[in-house]
Amino acid sequence: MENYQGVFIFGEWTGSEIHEVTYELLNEGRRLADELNVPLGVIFLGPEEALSQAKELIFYGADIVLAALYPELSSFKDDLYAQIVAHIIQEKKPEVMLFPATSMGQAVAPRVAGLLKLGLTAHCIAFEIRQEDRALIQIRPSFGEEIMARITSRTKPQMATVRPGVFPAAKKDETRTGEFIKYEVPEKLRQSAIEIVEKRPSDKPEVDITRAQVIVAGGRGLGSKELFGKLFELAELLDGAVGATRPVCHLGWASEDHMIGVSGVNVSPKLYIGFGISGALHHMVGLQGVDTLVAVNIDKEAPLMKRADIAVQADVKEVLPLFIKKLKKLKSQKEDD
Amino acid sequence: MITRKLTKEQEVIVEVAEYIGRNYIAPHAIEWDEEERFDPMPIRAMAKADLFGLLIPKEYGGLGFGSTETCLAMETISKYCPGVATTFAAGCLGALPLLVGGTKAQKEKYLPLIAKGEALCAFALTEPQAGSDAAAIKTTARKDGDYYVLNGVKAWITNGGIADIYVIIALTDPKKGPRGASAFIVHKNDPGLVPGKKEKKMGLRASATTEILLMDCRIPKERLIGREGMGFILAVKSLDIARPGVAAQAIGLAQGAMEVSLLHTKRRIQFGQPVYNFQAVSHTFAEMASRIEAARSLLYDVCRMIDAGAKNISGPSAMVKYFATEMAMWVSERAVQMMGGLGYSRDSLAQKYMRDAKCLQIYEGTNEIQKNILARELAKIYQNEEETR
Amino acid sequence: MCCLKPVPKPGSVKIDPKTHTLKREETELALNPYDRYALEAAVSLAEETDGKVVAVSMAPPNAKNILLDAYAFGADELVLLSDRAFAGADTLATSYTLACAARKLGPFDLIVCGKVSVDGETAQVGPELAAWLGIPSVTWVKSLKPQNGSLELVRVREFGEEVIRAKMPLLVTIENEANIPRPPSIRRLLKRDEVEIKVLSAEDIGAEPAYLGLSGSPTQVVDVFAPEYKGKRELISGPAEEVVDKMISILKERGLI
Repeated sequence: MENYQGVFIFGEWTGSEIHEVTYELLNEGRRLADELNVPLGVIFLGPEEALSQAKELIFYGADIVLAALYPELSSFKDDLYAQIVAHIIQEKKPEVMLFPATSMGQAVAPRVAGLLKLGLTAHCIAFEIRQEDRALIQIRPSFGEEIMARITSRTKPQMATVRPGVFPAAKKDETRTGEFIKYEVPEKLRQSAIEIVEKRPSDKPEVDITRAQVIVAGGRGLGSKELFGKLFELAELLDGAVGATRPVCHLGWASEDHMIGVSGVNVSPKLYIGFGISGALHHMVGLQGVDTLVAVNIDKEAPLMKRADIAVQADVKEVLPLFIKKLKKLKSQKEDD
Repeated sequence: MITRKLTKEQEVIVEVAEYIGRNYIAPHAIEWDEEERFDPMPIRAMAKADLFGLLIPKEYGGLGFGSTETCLAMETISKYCPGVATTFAAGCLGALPLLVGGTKAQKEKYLPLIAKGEALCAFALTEPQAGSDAAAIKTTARKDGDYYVLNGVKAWITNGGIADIYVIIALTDPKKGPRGASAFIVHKNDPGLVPGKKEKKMGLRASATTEILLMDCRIPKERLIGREGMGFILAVKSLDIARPGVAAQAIGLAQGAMEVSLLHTKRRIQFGQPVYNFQAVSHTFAEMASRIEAARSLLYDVCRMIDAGAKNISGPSAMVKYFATEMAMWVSERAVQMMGGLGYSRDSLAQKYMRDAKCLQIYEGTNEIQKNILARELAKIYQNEEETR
Repeated sequence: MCCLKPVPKPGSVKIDPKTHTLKREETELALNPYDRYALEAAVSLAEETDGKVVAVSMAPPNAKNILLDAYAFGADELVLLSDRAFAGADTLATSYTLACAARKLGPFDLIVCGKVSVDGETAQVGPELAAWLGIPSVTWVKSLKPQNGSLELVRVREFGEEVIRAKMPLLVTIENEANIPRPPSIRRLLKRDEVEIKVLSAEDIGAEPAYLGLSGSPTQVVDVFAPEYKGKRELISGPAEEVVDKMISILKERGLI
């Protein structure tokens, strides 16, 4: 059995800078590497302009940075990136490999898993090391059940993806040292069947609820798209953002940018109010950073109600409009003063 | 409430029409009405579902069904939005002259495309000065070598501006009056066919209704349907077949209106109980349900006649069109009334049904014209008091 | 080839208590909603190019209805990969099985998958399948057009969109905004009783047992636990008017509004 050693993470280039999630993975990666007493490495693919930022990954905790910097890598291409990452993994044999669950990470990680015949666990929210056999325990909600699962993978490296916002970002420490290697990729691995013809940045304002200090969220209990729509009114009153559960995004009541949960975003507002949300675990894992959690639901035994700091047992269809009405009144009274 | 036995095929047709209504129409009906906008999306769905092939014979790529099946689909779609159903109905009406009187070559060329929903039809007879008095049309079609050149203005044309094929009734021999009219197939991009102003309508706002201007519109002579002089015969035959479709629209509309209103009255509490409990209200629904079923039974009897190949369907067709559309106007108005203020609100469908119903009493032959036709047919049957007893 | 996954209808999930995997044969199944858009994309493209769509599903026998539905929605051929050996598969074993089927039934110009499944939510099978077959993959595609022997795709990313040209054979996963799926066709529904579903076993597709099912799945659930929530809960109940007033006063008290 060949010796696999080291915790590696995939560093993502956004086109102009290193993606924030890379620093989050470095933070958790550092913790795991320390527990396993092995080096923490970064596999980074990008254009030559990324050189200086890639070097700085050492300041964020990396012991070794393997940077493949080529003009052909300036844009993400599924086949190209995956074959290079797989090649590097085969050479360096890390025992753990973490990817971000971004559009890039979700495209490249499973390709690598397929190329190397490895297990891959998506959207992990926490990790543990089982000391007896140095196994990486991957924790995520079990599907269908309202419980968490601990998952292992018997192939090496043990691979997992992590959503942005699950772990805090590593802090910069300019005193740190490490090894930076400009990785040489053989010519034949730099071929791709994909060609980027044009990039069209979106002119729509990006919906990013992860920084909101107040989040009002809605679930199926609201009963209709119209009533869900009132959450936007409420969010504006409270200077916050609107969150949604996955079922509600399926129904088309909200775009996936608003989705909070294991495959959506993680939020850490001071105040979260969930209307008509029963609290499936998939949603609740996105709420780990919430300071004060308020739930409004007719069922006081609903998981979100049990988890809540303030549980309001009432009919959301009456409470939501009334809440908005009274807040508006308060606001206008305040302005009159 | 009255159960009717449907064949397996008819059940599938109704199931698919319901699926389309629920998934493609219901979520948008109010929006399309508010914005007075034709959306091709439900029409595309109906095309993919093969609804445009119902009436087209199998040998031309259709499903070879009859009036019964077409009316079942029409009734169901109308329940969700009579405006969308109108686009479908007008498409069927526009295809009928081809079905009834087209040459084999014309049928082979156009019917397969129509069946696949790739060519939407429109029927253009009415003109600004020729509505009920259809014989007063002035659009001309002058023979010019291997071509006809059409000149005139058609008004109130459903699917105007969106149709691929217009069947246009024009005078090839103005001196002969109605007997000098012929039917032509005009393509949307034939030179000289120009969609004109969009009509501002009270209801059926999801359907496109425009003027059509023919300005030296030059078409190959092969586009003449049948023979010169057949124009009005083809038009009348087509309308006779299509009119039960309007009745089906009316019945679907009335059903939808009754359901929206009834469900509301069961939820709405006034004076401590659901409003449905008050006899003035529940009796009204009893009357609605009865009139709808009466119209429905009449409709499917007429469809049965047509599908069995009855020769003279003018009377029955006029009867069911007038009967069902008057019923729909009554039902939808009562539906609004039973809902009170909420019925009047444009957030609810009831007022839309009422506005939509009005047009059904007017188009494809006003109900006054229908009664003229019916009275004329009645007189033919009861010619001589002694003979018929 | 269009991959279709039957998923549990909401509320009818049954889990094997030992392996913590889904007992699909006992669960009421529906087609993964995201796969509808994949099927529509495949059928539209086949219509445009005079091509053919083979719908493939790795599932127990009770999934046959879902394949018959796929026929009504435009699929030309229906294949059910059904074998006890497939049960309990993680994404690697599933993608391996689909790859064997693709090799047996193909070669395919294009393999189309939904963006993600609503039960597993990993979004891994598509790219893994492409890797097994050695073909490129492009995820989150919202439009595809044939373009001189290649495909022109529009792909969604966080920053916006990319226009991509890719050579076939290729695998794509389809975004919801890609299309409005068509309704079932009357003509096809009327033929439902005569439609053939090819049922293939592990042997039929030349799959090696070591890579299949639970034993072919490197990832395993080792245990489960219920998350604990500490902290005291304040419960408010009563008529809406009262409850809202109380809510506002508590939140004001805590300086949250």
